[in-house]
Amino acid sequence: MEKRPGLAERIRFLLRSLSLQGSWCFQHMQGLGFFYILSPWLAKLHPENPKDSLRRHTAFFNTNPYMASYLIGVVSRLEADGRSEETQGAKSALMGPLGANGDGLFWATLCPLSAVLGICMAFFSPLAGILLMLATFNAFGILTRWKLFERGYDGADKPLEYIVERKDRVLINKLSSVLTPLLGFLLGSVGMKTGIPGTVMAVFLVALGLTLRKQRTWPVLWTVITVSVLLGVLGLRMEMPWFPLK
Amino acid sequence: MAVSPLAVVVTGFLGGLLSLDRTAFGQFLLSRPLVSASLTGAILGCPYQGAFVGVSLELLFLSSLPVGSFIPHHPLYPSLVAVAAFVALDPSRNGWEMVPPAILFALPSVWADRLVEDIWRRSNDGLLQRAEALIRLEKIRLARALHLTAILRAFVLNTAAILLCAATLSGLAVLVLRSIPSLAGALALVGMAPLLVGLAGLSAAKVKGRGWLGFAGGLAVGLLFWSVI
Repeated sequence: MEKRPGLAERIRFLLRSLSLQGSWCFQHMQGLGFFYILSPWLAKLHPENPKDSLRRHTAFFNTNPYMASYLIGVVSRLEADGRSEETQGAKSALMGPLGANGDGLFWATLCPLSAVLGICMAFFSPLAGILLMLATFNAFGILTRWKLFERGYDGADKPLEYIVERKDRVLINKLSSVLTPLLGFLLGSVGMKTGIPGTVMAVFLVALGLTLRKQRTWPVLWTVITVSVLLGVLGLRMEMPWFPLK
Repeated sequence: MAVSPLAVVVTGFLGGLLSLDRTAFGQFLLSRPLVSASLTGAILGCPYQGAFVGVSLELLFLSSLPVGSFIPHHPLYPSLVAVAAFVALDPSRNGWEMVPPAILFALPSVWADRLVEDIWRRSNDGLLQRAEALIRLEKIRLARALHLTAILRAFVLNTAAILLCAATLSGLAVLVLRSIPSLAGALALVGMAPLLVGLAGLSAAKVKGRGWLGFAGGLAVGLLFWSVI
């Protein structure tokens, strides 16, 4: 018999999912966190003997923390339907693709996008910049956690369908197409505000960017810092703050 | 110029709280430099300098991604330590000359951040074993509590490490700049280095193919916009 989680339970799932990585370890990675999220639900489903199902969910688990909600939904439904033996298979099959899609969407695209948006806005008001950055990322993050839980719970019979749809990939491409003009705008703004001509700054940054494709960031950073110090010693100064924060 | 114990303690405690956002709880981006440095600056009485530190360090670390079990360089420690170092270097908290040196002296703390994260993750292996034993004994509540213990442990470890980093690196900055006062002027351009390298790195990673058209368009709009304004 199906026992669908009510609103209070779904809120509890959402809040607990925020601490998925709270006990991240190299052995089972997010395993203990996954157990923590599911334990009240499993205790409700199997009040007489929750031990066996709970032990299963401390097993190795690692995926993107935002996309994990989908698997939490799938596993909750499978447990509610009494198909406990299928949960480990679903976790094994889905955590890799969900992790790859989630890292690409949240860490490689949405995080830079919201940060660049925030910095562009900080040219006008630092507080507004911070709020814009947090609002952009978290509105999307919380909505994803909430919606994916529902999607996982309702689609537990065909859990791979969501991965096959490749909606995340489409979203990544759309968001990336917004990020590149913003990076250009930021570069132009920094150029104008520092007094360095925008074209000089663009040529410098393209050269630096090409170097960074071959080199790691830190050696390049320390080289730029050393050159900056040498220029400073030779008497080159720049009025502070060049970034218009006041 | 002197290290302020109160500023160091505030930085450590705030850093401990914000560090939870990095892995243990939430991932709301509160541990990103733009937020953490601005917040620390606002609490320590230098909001604009804090925001400047945040902007400078934000882009530098945007391409460090926490993929899989990889522990990337995270900008939380340098953001907080830079603000604490600025307060030590400029007790009046009004000037701007000491911001670039503060950023420079705070940068090495990024390795402490990575080390502490690694120690915390390794220490959780033991908690997992204990939790599994407790589940076998049907002590479910105690097993759940171990998960929360790990979060508390992250707070304590990071608070202690940020306190230590803020005290030692601020002290080092004060010591060096007291000995060579003219160094602050020579470091004026250094404040731009993290942002420029970050912007270049991010552009190199993200701008591909047709993206160059959008990038050039954005650049033109940026130049035109600020010329008109």
